[in-house]
Amino acid sequence: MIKRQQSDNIPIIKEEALSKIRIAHSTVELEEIYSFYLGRKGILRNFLITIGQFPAAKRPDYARNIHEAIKAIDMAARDKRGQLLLVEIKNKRSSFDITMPGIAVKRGHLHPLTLVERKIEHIFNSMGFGIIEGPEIEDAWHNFDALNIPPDHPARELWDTFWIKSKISGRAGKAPKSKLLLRTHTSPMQIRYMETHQPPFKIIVPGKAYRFEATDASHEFQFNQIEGLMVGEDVSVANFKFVVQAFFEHFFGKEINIRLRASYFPFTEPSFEVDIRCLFCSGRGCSICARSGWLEMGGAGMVHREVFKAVKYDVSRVQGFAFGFGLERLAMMKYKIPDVRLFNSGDIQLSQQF
Amino acid sequence: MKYSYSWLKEFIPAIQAPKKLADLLTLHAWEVESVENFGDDFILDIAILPNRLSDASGHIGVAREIYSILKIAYPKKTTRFSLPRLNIKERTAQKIKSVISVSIAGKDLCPRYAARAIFGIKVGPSPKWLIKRLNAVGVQSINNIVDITNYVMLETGQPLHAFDYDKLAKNKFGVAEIFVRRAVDKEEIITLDGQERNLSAEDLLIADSVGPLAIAGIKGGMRACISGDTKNIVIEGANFDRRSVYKTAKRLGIDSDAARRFGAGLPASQIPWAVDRVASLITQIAGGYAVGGMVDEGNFRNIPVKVVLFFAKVNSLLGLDLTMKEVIYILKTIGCEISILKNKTLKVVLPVNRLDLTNQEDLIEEIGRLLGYGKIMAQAPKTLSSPAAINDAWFIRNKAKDVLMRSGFTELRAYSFMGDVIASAFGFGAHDLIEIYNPIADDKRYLRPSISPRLVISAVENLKYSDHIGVFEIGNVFEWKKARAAEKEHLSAVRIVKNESNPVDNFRIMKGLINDLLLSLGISDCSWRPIANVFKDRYLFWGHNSSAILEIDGKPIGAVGVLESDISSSFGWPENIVVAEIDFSILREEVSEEHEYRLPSKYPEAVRDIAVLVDISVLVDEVGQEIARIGKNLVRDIELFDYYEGENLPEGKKSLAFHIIYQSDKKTLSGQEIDKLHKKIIKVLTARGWEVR
Ligand SMILES: [Zn+2]
Repeated sequence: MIKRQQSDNIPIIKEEALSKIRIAHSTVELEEIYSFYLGRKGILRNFLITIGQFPAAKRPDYARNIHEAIKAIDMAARDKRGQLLLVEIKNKRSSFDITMPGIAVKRGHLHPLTLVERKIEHIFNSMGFGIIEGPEIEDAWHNFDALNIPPDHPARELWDTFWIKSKISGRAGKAPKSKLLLRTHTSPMQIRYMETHQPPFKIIVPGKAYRFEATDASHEFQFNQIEGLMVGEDVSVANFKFVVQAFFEHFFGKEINIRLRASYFPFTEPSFEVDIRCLFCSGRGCSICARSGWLEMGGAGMVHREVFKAVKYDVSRVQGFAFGFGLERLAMMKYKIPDVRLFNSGDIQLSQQF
Repeated sequence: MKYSYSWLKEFIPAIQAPKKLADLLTLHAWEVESVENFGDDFILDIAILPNRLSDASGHIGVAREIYSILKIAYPKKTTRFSLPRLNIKERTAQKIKSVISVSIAGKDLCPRYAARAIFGIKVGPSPKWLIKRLNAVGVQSINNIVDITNYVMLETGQPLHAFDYDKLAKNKFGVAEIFVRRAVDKEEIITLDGQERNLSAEDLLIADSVGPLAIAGIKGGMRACISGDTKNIVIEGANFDRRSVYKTAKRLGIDSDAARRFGAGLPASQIPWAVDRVASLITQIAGGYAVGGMVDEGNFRNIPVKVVLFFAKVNSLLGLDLTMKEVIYILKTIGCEISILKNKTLKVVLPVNRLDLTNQEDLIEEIGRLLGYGKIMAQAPKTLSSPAAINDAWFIRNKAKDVLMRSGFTELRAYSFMGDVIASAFGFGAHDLIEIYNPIADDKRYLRPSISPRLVISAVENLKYSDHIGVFEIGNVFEWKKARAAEKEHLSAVRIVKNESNPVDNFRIMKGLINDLLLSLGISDCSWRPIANVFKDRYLFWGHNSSAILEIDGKPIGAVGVLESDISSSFGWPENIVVAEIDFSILREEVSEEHEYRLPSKYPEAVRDIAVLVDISVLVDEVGQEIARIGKNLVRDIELFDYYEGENLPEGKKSLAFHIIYQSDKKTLSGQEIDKLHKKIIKVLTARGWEVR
């Protein structure tokens, strides 16, 4: 049963609420007033619920009155809240002006190659690949012979080598070149690892390598490689395609189109070049991919039987793939770094961008 | 290598258009680096892979390859491959044996030597079509005879040589005697380029009884060369040991077309056709007639190699699902002859021109690449392998990098090399340095024995961006250890403050950083000693009075200190350069995985201060260790809060002030107990001659 005077009360309630808001002293007090009238169980909210029980003829007027009151009280409360907050902040001002700009805590930066290396290692690690490391000074046997790169063969010229001077001086008083060299690729770790482990296994070998060659924007005589090796009973080219595709898609964070192209490496058979569809032009051809639509990412192949023989594996029972990618190239693609020589420049501004 | 499109088309009339052909070759065989117009012809620059120089260094070889690719890509099309017809004007009445004899000493170095004699020729310019072909692939025309030998080499890949028959020495029967033999040490020959070459006993020669005629497989000599009035010639087509040619060419520094081909190895089986092709072209173009027959010496026997191919291995290695019929079809297109043995095994007779094929994987590669690796669908590996082992070195290195980075240091990377200037400035003796036999530049003659020198230089260069710089690198360093090339991993950090000459704070920050690094790696038991006390000549670039050796378990593993002022001033660098270098290889071994948590004591702590006046030479650590020795397990910590030397203190003295934090983990210490212990400490310090104030 709705009392008649309820409708007459609305203007009174409204005035009462507005005057209370006007004299409120704090935001806490204001919130109490607000919830008394407009809160979930506030007086005016209750009135709203009862509109339906009101005589139909009077209903529109009644509803309009309530809505007007709610709106007025709401606006007044909002204005007052702003005033009170400002006062309250000013009163607390014994501390400081929080609108001053922030001061950056000075942290250092990691080298972009470290970041890329970590990303690569993380992806392969999550596919179950172990991470192995090896020496940068190698002997000719591990770097060449065991990898089926015979001496006095033009194939050896694919790897221009830094040789280490012998400790013992020769006849003319000059030290001859020794059998030691700076590894020209991370592949000798295939041999070192297989000499001491039995398949099945899957590993990657990140590390520095060196080649005696002129430098330019895309060639360095000192660079980093990621070697990969997976050996088991039935590891195939199809498996390689799967692994390498998964790697590139995670690394670049998008769908990647892969192409294997015939190639030659003495330590793999079959051998192929791994190309990915150009990331910059989606294969239409641009200056970065030399208009071919494809980017060369590295070499790969199925481990050669002579390599398995060098580590005394039974060639009839094992097969596997190996690959080598350039870390700098991956970093340049990922971060759009234009010149490979920046990595060793010692310029702090390179690292500071990362 | 350059190949003429129209020349290739002679062998395969139904060849693809140049661009399309280039794409096919790139995908299935060799990268075509460019396709360029040359008059009405196109020149393809093809990067023949090193293992295929033996069969594809001539147009015929590349045409054969194209034939295989087309037969497999378009099996329904009729693609034909054919060689040009030979047409030799030959007078069989005169026998070759009555004109030339060839004797080979050392058949291992020369398995085959074939020759024809052509008499009555006329040396002159070549016809236009021949000159154009040679020019197209970058060869200059000389005269018809030389041009034809070059032409046939570019066609077949087989180097050929022409001698002037009348300049060869004859025996008493009038026969020109050709010897294939090793040179005697210091034997000399003037080669076609007019240079006098000094030979050694390892080199192989073509000679007559007078002396050398040519360096076998590398370059011809002046003495019997073709000249304008040459009438009668000998055409040589031979095969030489790959390694011998390669070595001699390298040593003499001759990079001829012939040497490059022989150095890669050539099939001896191709010789007769090539020699006949020369005879055919010469008698057509330069006139004359060929003497009947061909000399063909050497122990070469044309026995093709057989390989057993397990059919299942093809699909297993490639990850394909080919039928035996498909496999046989592909192998036949490259010229294999195949018979099926039992148990799904194939006996494959290899084509004699393909020296690169020796085993079943070689054949599987042919199948994979000719079919196209694009036909292989990615497939998840099913081989199980044990979980990847955690690589401690990698884990610890990453952790160290993170600690340094969070402390405001930026990682740099540098070349692993060093030159004389820096090596001697930083006190490295050339004796221990590993020297590069063929350095790329003077400042990269040695492998770096330490990371710091280069890192200091980089840090100084970076002062253009900021007044204080902190940088680090973790990488390998190298040094002779007796006769062994020792390689270790080092960590180096450098901190420079430009406008503050007193390095104490800088030093302490670096020391604090290294301490923090050790703690984060779980190493709490380390000690620091003044550098002057230990290894005087070992730590070469740190100032002796301002640096410390870091020891773990009594082993020195590195040093932290101010860069020797002589070094910084000689380069004009700021004085305040603090350098830390640590043997990361040893540190890694010291890192214990067990990192036990110690409960903090439940009992209250009490702090008493103590100030001591000591001689300048007395170390903070000495006083601290003495306090700790007396306090035993009731002194939890000792903190230096003031260090002073200078005004108001007696000459040669310094004042140290410590907070001593007393705390037991068994009980609450009473005021009396603490006072008693504190007094004892004062007494003992006083007894050491240190004045407690
Ligand atoms: Zn592109």
